[in-house]
Amino acid sequence: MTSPLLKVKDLSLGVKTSNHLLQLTDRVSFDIGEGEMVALVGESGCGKSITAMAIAGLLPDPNGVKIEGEVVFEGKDLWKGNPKDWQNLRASRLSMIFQEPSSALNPLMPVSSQMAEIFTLKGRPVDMQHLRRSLDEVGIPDPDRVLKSYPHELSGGMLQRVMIAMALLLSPKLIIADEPTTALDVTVQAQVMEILTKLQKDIGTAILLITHNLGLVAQYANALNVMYAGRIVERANTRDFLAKPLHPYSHGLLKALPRLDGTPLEAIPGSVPSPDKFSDGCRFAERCTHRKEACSQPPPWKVRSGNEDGGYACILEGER
Amino acid sequence: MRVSELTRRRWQNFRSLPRAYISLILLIISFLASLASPLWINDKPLIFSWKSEIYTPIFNYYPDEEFGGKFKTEANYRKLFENHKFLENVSWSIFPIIAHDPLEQNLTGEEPPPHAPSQSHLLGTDTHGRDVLARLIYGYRNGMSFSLLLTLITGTLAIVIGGVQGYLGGKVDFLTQRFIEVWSSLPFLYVVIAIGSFMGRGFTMLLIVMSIFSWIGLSYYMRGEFLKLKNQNYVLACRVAGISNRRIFFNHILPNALTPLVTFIPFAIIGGITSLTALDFLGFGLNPPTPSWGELLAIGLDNRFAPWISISTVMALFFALLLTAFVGEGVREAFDPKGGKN
Repeated sequence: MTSPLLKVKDLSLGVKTSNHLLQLTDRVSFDIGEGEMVALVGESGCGKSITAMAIAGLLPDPNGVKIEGEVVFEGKDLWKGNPKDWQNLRASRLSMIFQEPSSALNPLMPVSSQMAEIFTLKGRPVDMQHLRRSLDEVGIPDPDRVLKSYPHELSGGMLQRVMIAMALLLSPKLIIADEPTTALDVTVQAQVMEILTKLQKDIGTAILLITHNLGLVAQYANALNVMYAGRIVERANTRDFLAKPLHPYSHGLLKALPRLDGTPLEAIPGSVPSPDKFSDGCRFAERCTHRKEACSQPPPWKVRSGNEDGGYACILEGER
Repeated sequence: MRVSELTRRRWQNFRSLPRAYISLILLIISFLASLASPLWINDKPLIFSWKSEIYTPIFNYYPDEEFGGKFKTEANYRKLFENHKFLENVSWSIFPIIAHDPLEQNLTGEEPPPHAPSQSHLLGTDTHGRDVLARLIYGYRNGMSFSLLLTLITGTLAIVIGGVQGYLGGKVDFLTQRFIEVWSSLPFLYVVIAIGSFMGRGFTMLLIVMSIFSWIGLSYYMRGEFLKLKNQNYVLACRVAGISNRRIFFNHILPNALTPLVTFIPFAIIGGITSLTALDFLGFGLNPPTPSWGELLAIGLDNRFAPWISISTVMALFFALLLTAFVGEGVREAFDPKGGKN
């Protein structure tokens, strides 16, 4: 197997509070290959976004955060070496799309100058033709008007498209899309995802899709990682996962999706524990219908039969 | 520079409040006029022709010898224009509207100063025989310039210090905050007296001393804005794109953080005028005989039998502060997202 584009290995993030260390994620590992769309799925508060922030180098204060493990991007470890170098590396090879398109653009600058800033940054002349073309590519009908507009004059769907166009200006190798469609209407969601997949295929950009929407994952992602309370509890490619989820949590997530055949929705009782209540044992145990005595021990990682890349962290053998 | 939609709307909101708009215009005109006051308040003639030559004493220096006097010092035009021999050769002359210098002492009358308002002194004179109107206008010029400069320096310091605190956060923020707490507990008046006693009390000195204390209040607002804005998505987006800290600070956060500053400016100006007046009143402000409202107030208080001094000064102070407060109200209105007619 060739080395993946992005390799996250045993990434543990902790926040220093006044008296102790709050462990937010626990040995998170996953890979993204060139041109793949990999999803990171989980409920709110399970550590998806902070993992993404860590990869993008956006952790609020480097002194207040404890980082262990490694993030290897194109064969280079992002924590080692000069911070300036990572920043340059990230700037040209990695882009990020945010959840709230309305707050992701500077409200006091017209779209064109914000897009142009990326060129000036690279010391290249501003190419308005290029800007227009890139807006055209993300399906914006009249690029000239949009370029002249201020962010508040555009709709959420438009803004998200502008964000995608901006993210693509430098043809990055990896785009981190942090809940790119959560703030949008369902119809616009589909359009935005179509644009993303189209670009993924055309340009060969890999996408890390962070979402809590399994519907999107099922439709667009190649593979997914299910996160729960700071840990990855299951990893699988999308087809396997939909056919046979192995972890009880994944099972619950799928059951909580609305279906056309009228089966009543089943919610998972309870909610994600807060980080100060994370235990060493299986963190899902409290809400799990298959809870056993052994669940108070750290759950073993089991490889999915038939696909070495997949696996799950549970004492159950997959029978339910 | 393109004016953004928002700025235009705010300007319209501001104009929709007539008293704010009118106040702003009045303040600007009066300040510009006061800056030009040597042209229209002066004891020298603006221009005159003597022995068919044109003289402009306000712009040029002419020694007494030039007009047949004995001295190399500047001619005393008031005496010259009372001299018949001199006047015979003057074909025409234009005097400023108010023909008094704020420092010129009129001790010629029958009675000792202060003189009550009369045709030559519209608002009377003070205890030294100096024209009150001329001193009021020059005092306005000093006070307003002082206050505007103070606001400019204060605003800049507040942006830089508060902004850096908010933007960097962490240790820098913590240490600066503690420093500010210690700094702000220094008694301002004592420092002014102490520094004034050995460095002199000039305009610049006072400006520096007041600047190093008055940025603190505003820096809290700037710190808060920067703390809030640095975690906005567009700032994060800039950081992912590798935009430099300086550029993020000045181009992306600062323009968005200016609202409290702009709203604060009129009130900072009011504060500047009042504190300078108060210092002058107490005698710790500008060195006499610099014209100042505080000094006039003090003279007025000591000479209650000459009410024209205190009444005119209080009225001037009242209107200057009222107009500035109206502008402040308009600015607040313009920046209120809920208010306005648009």
